[in-house]
Amino acid sequence: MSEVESRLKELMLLSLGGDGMAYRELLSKLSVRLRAYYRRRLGQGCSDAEDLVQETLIAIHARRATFDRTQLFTPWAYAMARYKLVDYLRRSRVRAAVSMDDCEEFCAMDETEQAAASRDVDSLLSRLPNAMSEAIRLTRIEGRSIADAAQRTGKSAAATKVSIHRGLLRLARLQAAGALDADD
Amino acid sequence: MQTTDLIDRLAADLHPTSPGAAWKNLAVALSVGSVVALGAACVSFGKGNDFAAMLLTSSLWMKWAYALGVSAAALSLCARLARPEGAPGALPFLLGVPLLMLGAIALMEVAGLPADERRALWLGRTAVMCPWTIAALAIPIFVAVLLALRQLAPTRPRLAGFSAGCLAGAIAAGLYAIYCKETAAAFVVTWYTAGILLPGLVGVLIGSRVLRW
Repeated sequence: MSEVESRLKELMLLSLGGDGMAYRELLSKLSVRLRAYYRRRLGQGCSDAEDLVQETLIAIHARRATFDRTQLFTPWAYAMARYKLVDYLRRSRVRAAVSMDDCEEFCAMDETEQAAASRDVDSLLSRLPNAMSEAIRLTRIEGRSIADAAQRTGKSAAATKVSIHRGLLRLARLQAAGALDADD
Repeated sequence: MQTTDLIDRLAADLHPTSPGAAWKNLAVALSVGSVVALGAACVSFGKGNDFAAMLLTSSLWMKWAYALGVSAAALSLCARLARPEGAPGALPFLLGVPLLMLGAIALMEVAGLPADERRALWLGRTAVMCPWTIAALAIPIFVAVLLALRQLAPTRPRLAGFSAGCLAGAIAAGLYAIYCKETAAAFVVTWYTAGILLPGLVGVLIGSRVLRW
């Protein structure tokens, strides 16, 4: 351990003096250690470990001036790594909390908003003549083909198309006139 | 991006770092903040008291000694916490040393006085505005120190925010002393301390958000 420390510190001192080769070696050695550290903490399969390795390398680079040359190197680098881990865990906890909230909201929306939406569609369609509302329901809501809908209603495909077209036009006009709001 | 590519980029961006680079940031921040605060004090209080005559009063030196003591303790704590591995150790307690010393002086001062005189000494004439003025003067220093700390690597952001706030408050207290006519140690130990702790408290509250990196 103390051998590692003295080698890393030697590289760090050279790096602070502007030695690019030493710096590259230092960062490579560090990235191996950081990867092992984050994988151990986050689990082998966690894809965020490599992101954390990079974040920490960037932090070490940007804040290398905070290294005190009279002190040990590994505690300094480890403190950076640990800070990034704690920050990551805090962030992912927030993310987890958000996603759970979203889920509840999502379920609640399913019961209230979607039900209200289908009620709205029903009330709009009820204002159309039967042939039109049936054709629209079969094709646009249930998602059947025009041929299929024509067969079910016993009309020609052309007549079904015309019904859909006219029905949609009329719906648009109804909505523009605020019929839905008046209904509520 | 691959980590090896990142290492190449960082290595290409490397330039020599001087040993005192981090502390130079902090020193520049303190100087700029203090000059701004002094300028603000000059503008809002005018020329104020006769400075030469004030230099001969013991109360100014008492206030300066207190402000200097707290500043030194807060600065050493702040500098320690700016390093990622910096543990506060006993340094936070060092902040209490000037407080205890001035508190002892204040107790000796008021000992044996009747209650209403004690109260008059303690409240002075400016007890209400004193802490707020010190806190207001501390703002430019506080902001400058926080900005400098963001470039460094504090891993205990709340405590680092506290130290930055106390440091700014103590320097502001030293500046305010030039304009303050109060003379009692009991006054200084209460209201100056309140003015120093206000930004310190703000530092605790905003530290974890402002000092993230």
